[in-house]
Amino acid sequence: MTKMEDLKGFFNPKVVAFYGASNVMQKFGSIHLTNLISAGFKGKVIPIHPKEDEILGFKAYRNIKDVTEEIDLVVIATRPDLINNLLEDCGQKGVNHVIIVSGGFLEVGNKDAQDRMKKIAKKYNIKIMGPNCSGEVIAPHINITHVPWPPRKGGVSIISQSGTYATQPLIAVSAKIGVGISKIISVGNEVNTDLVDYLEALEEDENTSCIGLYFEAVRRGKEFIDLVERINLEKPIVIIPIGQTDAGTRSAKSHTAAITSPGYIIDSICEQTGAIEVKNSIEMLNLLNGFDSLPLPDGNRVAILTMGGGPGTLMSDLFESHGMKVPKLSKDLQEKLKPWLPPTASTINPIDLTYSDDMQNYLNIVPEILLKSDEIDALIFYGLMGTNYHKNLVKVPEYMKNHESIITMKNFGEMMEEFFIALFDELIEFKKKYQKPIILTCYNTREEKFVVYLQDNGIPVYYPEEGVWVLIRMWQYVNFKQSKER
Amino acid sequence: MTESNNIIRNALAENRTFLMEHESKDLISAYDIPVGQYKLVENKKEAIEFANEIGYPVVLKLMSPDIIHKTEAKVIKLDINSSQELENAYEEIVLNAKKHNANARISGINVQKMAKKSIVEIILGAKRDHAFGPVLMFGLGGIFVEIFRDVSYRVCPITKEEAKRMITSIKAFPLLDGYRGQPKADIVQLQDVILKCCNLLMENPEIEELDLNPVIVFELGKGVMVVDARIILKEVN
Repeated sequence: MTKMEDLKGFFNPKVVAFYGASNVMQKFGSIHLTNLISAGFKGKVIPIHPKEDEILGFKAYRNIKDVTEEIDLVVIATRPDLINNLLEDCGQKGVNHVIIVSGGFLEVGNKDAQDRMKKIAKKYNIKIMGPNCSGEVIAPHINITHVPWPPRKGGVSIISQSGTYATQPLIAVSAKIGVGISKIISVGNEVNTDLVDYLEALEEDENTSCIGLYFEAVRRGKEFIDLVERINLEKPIVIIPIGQTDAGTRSAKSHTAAITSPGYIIDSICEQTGAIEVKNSIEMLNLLNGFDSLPLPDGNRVAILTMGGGPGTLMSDLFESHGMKVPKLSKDLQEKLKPWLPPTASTINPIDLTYSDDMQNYLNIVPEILLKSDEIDALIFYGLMGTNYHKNLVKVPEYMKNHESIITMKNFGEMMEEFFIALFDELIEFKKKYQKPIILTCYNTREEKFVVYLQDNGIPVYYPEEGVWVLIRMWQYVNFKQSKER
Repeated sequence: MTESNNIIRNALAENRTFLMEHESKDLISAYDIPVGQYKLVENKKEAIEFANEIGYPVVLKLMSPDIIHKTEAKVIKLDINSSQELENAYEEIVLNAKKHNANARISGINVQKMAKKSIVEIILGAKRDHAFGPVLMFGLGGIFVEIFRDVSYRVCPITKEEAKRMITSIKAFPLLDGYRGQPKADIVQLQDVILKCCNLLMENPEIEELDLNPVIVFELGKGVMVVDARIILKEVN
């Protein structure tokens, strides 16, 4: 049996029962149930409740054993002291997959209760996610977490020992990063399924293109290393290890009852396996977004196309001090670029337009000349203003409003979105045609429609330094892979 | 490796969680890790005979299952140049051992050659992690490890290529690679010793910590030599 089949109740449930959902919306169970429905879940939900006949509009049962149909997955978010008895009921009902959200077990020293949980699970062959976890997202239509979040479906999967880090940085996703998610698994105390199990499943999963790991401790070290080493060559793995200082270690122990390993070991595992270690949860999502959206660079030569000198200089410094090159372009190539650039522009690389209002030159003609050449392996932009910028620009006092130039600008702001989209489609085509990474950087967020359009169509948009780091890390990954293939 | 098993089992049977230096050296020798010539002797006569055989200068170290920190107990004498000096040193360290711990049992006196000038001294260590197993550490001796923390780590088992990367990835690697006209150090043999340490740790789960410090690296083709070795044990169920 493949790991995906073994865990299919988590990955592909058709009937999901809930303990802890009630008609009080503030309860975790109610939130989980609601979020699942809001994600567009196509299957059936069955609340189990000791008193109510109906929960949030769904028929409720007093006991899971009263349900006649087969149940693929049970979600438990009740008081911890009830859980082992409920688990026993699930076993008798023939349930094989249970997510236990509630805490109150080994992480608070309640070893007896967790041991008993393990025994019951063994007796009935139940696979448990948790306890003490934040559930899962299986994009696009399953969201059993407390974060109401409409996932953009993509290839990024995350396994996390922290429920918070599994779910909450994703709030930033809808606001800024726009990373496309495949699966999020919050493993909690790992009573009988752990990081290694879910890694094995993601290795098989054809919808996962890259993997983020947030962990405090690895319970099966050897298996973990072998697996990471193997998977990383196919699907890049980005790791945030935590709990490596005295205070961090204490925190981890009371968090998921995990005993951490010293940081230097994780560092060396990353060096040995090529997995990429980052220290920052946003950096992790940025990087995963890059891996998921972009082709890998074949080499380390970057072209910088910028609407301003500062970002061009800072980006150049960062690239060149971390193993990438911003090469001078050949005379020949510079000659090809010149007709399309303002006379004040620098053509050497960074290509600094200083300012240009010809968006077609900036977003299509110049990029294609660069991407077509064999002088660069990746392209990064700085600078683009969106509709909000233009809207704010015409927020003028009443007596100025009817001036002709204000009206022209207002109209431009309103029509520019559509105009941009045609240019963006072309850019998105270039990425596919030339198989080189293209990144746009600016200080806008997903409040601007152009950011949403680009991100959702596979051109990541970052703040300037973030974009540079994504490319640097991607190149380091390619470098490691090439060293293994040699 | 029955020999290594015996050394470890004897120590654990005595409720000892460390090996004495000569035991540590016997153990690593069993894995073909080059150790400077040494002999455990029981009296001054034997010590002088062995010193004459290997030539002066020599080092004397008192071996006791009751003394783990030899420097603290002042039971080490370096740079002994004649039989007269050796006799004095011998008496002095036996006296110091008794001063340090009146009931200290003496297993013998370790006589070894005083190490020659080397290209560089390195440290090879290992510690066993509860989740990942043995983790090797490599670095240059002295301030490089203590102040600059210029070390590399690898989780065992490792390949030959990884052993090499472990050596070349430290910042001070140029010092091993012919810096300023110095001869290149024998990193080929060093790589081999790292792999042997890896085997030693993989095959003996009782070894909790290993500390080969210093290890002398000679110029290319002339090998390496372990000068001092410490091994910490842990009972394994």
